[in-house]
Amino acid sequence: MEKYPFSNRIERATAVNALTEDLHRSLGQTKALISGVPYDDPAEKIRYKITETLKAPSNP
Amino acid sequence: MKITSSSQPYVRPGSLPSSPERNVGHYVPGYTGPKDGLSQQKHQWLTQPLNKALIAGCFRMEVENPENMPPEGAHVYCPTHPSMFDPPLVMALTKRDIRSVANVYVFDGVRGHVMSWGGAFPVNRENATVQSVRHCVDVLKQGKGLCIFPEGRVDEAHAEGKIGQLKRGPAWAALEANAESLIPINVNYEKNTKARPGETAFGVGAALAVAAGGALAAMFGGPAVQVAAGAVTGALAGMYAGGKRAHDRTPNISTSFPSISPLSREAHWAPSPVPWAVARWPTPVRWLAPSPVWPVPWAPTVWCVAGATATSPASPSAFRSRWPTTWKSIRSAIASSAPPP
Repeated sequence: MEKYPFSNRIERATAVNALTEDLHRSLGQTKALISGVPYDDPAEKIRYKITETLKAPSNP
Repeated sequence: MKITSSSQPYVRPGSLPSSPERNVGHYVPGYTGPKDGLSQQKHQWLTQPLNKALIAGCFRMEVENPENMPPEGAHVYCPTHPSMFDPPLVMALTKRDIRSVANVYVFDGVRGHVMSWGGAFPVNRENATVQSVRHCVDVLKQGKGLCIFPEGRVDEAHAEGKIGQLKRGPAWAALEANAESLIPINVNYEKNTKARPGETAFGVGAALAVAAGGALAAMFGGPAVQVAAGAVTGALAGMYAGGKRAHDRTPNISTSFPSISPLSREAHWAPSPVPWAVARWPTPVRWLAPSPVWPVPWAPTVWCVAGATATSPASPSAFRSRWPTTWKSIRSAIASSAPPP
């Protein structure tokens, strides 16, 4: 088993996010080829959501 | 203050008896899934041939790029989820041992038993247990295939020709277990009224045999045989007429089952007036029924496109190299990608 590669949560979540975006792009582009509906890349939305989730809690 | 000790002995949480409610994370009425909440290879020798027979009877499956389906190794299979038929379709794509993730609420009755035998295990989507999430990783670490629908549900976006938003669980499990790759699979349904090569010949032959048998019985048989032949012919004709009427009155034959078929776009969530089974059973009857309108068996066509994109290479090894499946490539992919806004 390889050594665990991520030093923190944000790095791991970024890798998960990148892989999910790649998967979405592959599935969505194939679906667009089949259905004829142009593929709307939601990568920016997903990235924004994850970034928001991983923000540190504000300290009032 | 008076302190009294309980009459019940203290029980450590780890020694509590196992219960389905604890393991699946939620109480499910009529739960018939695995008691420990884990997948098992119990009766896959039986469920896989039955599943393929079911698929062959109901669908005409066309698989594009089958070379992208690896026969072994720790891979995460990620199909799209346009309808409830997808799990058996994906299971019919390969012969290998694939464990699949399913919602805990579908593990009830006979369905729960069959899904458990086929290697599915329950996950509570609202409140997933650590055990079920860890089991995804354990399956991959054992070198088996794991099937997760990354959309997490049957998504309405398929009715518009798109795919829904993906959950991050498949990618997380693949990274956590150091899986070899994610296999994207597009499942697409299309209505197809074209008869398969053997179906028309079978229908013609069966109809001629029934008609000839009825004529011979009427000519040479006794009164009882004539009555029986008339009853059989009348029943077949009646079933055919009823089935055709039900078929014609159904706006789209597969919208009625379970109201989430991708074939209908305008009435996607609307229940059909004719239940799916009633509209579906006359199909084999139409093969046997003599009719001036010659029967054409109906079946939808299913496309399963495994890893097919515009830039998809042909060989599986080249396909796997597209994915950042090693830690080094993941790090380089992160380093080379633009920072999030």
